[in-house]
Amino acid sequence: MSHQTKTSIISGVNPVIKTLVLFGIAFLSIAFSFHGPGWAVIFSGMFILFAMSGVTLADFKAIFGKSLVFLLVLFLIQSFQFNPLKMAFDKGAVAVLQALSLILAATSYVMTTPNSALLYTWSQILFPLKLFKKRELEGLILIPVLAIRFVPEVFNEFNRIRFAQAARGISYKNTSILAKAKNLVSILYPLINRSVIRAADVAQILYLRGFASSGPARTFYKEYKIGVGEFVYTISIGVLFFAAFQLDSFIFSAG
Amino acid sequence: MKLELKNLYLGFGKKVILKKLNLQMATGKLNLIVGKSGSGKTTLLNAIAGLNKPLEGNILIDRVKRPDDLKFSYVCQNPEILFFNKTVYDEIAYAFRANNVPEDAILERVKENMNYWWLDHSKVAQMDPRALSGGEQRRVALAACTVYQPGIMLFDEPLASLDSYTKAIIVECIKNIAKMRLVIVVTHQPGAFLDSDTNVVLLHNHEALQMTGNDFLKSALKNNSLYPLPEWYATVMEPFADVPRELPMLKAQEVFDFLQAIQQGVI
Amino acid sequence: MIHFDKVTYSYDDKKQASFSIKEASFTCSKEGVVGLIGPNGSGKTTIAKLILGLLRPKSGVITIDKRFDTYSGDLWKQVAFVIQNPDNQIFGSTVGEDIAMPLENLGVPRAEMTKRVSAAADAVGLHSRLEDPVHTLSGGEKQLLAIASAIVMKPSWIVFDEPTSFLDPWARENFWKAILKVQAEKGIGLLVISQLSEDFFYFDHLLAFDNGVLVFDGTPAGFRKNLDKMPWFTPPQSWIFEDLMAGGPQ
Repeated sequence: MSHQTKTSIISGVNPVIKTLVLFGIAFLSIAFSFHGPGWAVIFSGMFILFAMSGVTLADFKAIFGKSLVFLLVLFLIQSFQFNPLKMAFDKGAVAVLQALSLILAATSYVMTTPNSALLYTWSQILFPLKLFKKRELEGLILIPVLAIRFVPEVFNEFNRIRFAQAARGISYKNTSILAKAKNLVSILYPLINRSVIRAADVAQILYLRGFASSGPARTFYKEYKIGVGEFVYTISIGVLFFAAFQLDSFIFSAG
Repeated sequence: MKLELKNLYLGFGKKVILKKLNLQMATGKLNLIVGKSGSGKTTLLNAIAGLNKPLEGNILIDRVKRPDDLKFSYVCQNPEILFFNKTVYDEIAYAFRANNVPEDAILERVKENMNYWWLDHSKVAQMDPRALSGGEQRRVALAACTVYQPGIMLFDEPLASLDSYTKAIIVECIKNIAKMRLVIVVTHQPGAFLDSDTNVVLLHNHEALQMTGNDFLKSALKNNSLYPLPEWYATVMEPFADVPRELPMLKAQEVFDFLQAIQQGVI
Repeated sequence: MIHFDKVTYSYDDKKQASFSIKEASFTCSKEGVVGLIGPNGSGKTTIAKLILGLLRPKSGVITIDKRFDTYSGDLWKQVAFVIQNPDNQIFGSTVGEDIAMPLENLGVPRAEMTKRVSAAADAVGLHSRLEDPVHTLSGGEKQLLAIASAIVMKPSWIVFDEPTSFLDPWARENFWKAILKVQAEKGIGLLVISQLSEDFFYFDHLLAFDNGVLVFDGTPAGFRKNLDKMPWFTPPQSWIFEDLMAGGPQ
């Protein structure tokens, strides 16, 4: 049910700090127009962060593979945007580095932050706003958290059903587009069915375990502290972006 | 049809789940794969189905390397989840229609297949499969999964979540089909399927032990950690674990007849 | 004690009509294991949901531990539930986090939570695995984790819906050892829905349903004398063998 998170140095960092830093990375990436050298520095830093998250080269290849189409489209759009007749591959390359850096940062975050940490994080971040009563907050936070975690389950289920239906003789290759679309029903209908049944099971069990019940405010099993590790983590990301900014300034103002 | 696994190693990345598998499975006898959860039963079944690539070794069908387009039926756990048609007939016939088989040919094949699974075509063919009882749904699912490509039939826990009456029916059906097709069953309930000549593959400590049903029972009687037999059977049969004759299977009447024969000095 | 007094339930959805309950009356005590059996569609899961408060009876009264059920909506504090598929009832990333989840929901202070989580894990033999990620657990261990997540709430009863269906024989043995130990140590009532003949060995009190009607309420010995009235039931081989050895009915 819970997605598989990695055990690593990064997974030990306070999840609230990790979330705020991730927002910071996104903000800095959008607010400042880094050039190629700057993005190369940021990408290298994000790659190191990714590697320190306990992921393997195989994980990186998988993510890169799944993002390939998106990155290719982004590259082409950015390369041609200024002048359709004049290709600006450098701009395309910068856009790809930018996107890949954000993908790596986000993946590192997701892979090192379990459900309970996310619930804790968003409770802490949203609580000061005092817009909701705390118990209602739990539902609002956990539902999207669980939904995101469902995604790998749904993909796995899709593949399992596809294989099982193919083994019945239902072909998904070498057929017309119309036949493929028709045969897709053989996957989607059971998939939706299973997902609904799973959702009902999960909702039932959550209710029976007192989720969002009335009573005292939610507590947390795991204690999250802020210490030297969190300080080093935040400063490192800050230094990385500062170094990228300085490098760009040096290279592009020196000529 | 004969399936051979030669020096097969199965796993993912650097993790080896099963090693040095040298097994033979053939048409005519039921082939069971048993073992603890995590011992690699589904991994082995998936390798035979072509879903996983072996780390090393070969899978041969009739002495030829397993072709990538091998025709087989694979029945997953709780196969009723695969229903997506309005009637039982449509569900079973779907694969034929998707492959442009003429309707009159479909009718014959579907009727024949429903017969295998003890489904009365005249009663259930036009019913919504989801409106049937649990046992009937399972049989419809088994029919739908095995009707089109029955060369090799792979079953993953076909008895899960069923009452004992339906289990007995399905066991009979699978045993009958095993006489004509190469049938491989992964199960946590081998007792239901076991005959003295059943081909049992027991996965234990990352390896596979291949033996007849009779040898399987004797081995399990001598070593409970290999497979925990039902207490009633283990208690009375343990003294006979080393006798040079076939033991009765996990059926009360067979065990009773065996003990009577021992007592009367007949055997 | 669970007490049903002429409880009736019917579903509005016609497709689920077969799962209705017709005037069921019975009492279950916490001594021994209560087995709830019957063919598919007999109403076993409906009974479980009525006990859990997930469904409200159309008529009749359900009482848990002499407390009249006014459907206050918090029956879950007294009765815990363990379902068939362990993967659908695991939420934490680690064993400890998953066991702690109900206590987090209840707002239990951390110090008390840590003690109760440790005790619950110990009760099912998972104490050494508190920090382990849940995806490293086998199917049987996941079911033990589900039991721990149930007992950490200190329920009066635990209802199990076909808990051994997906388990191998080793895991099934461990499961029964764990829940019998939990009952002996904590006095929790156990009600188990099962269709597996291997589970019948453990039942002390049997409730048999057929088409929503309670057709038997008594001991397994009494049930065995009435098998002719239960055409849907196939006796386990152990019973048949005992009868053969005793020269009795087969």
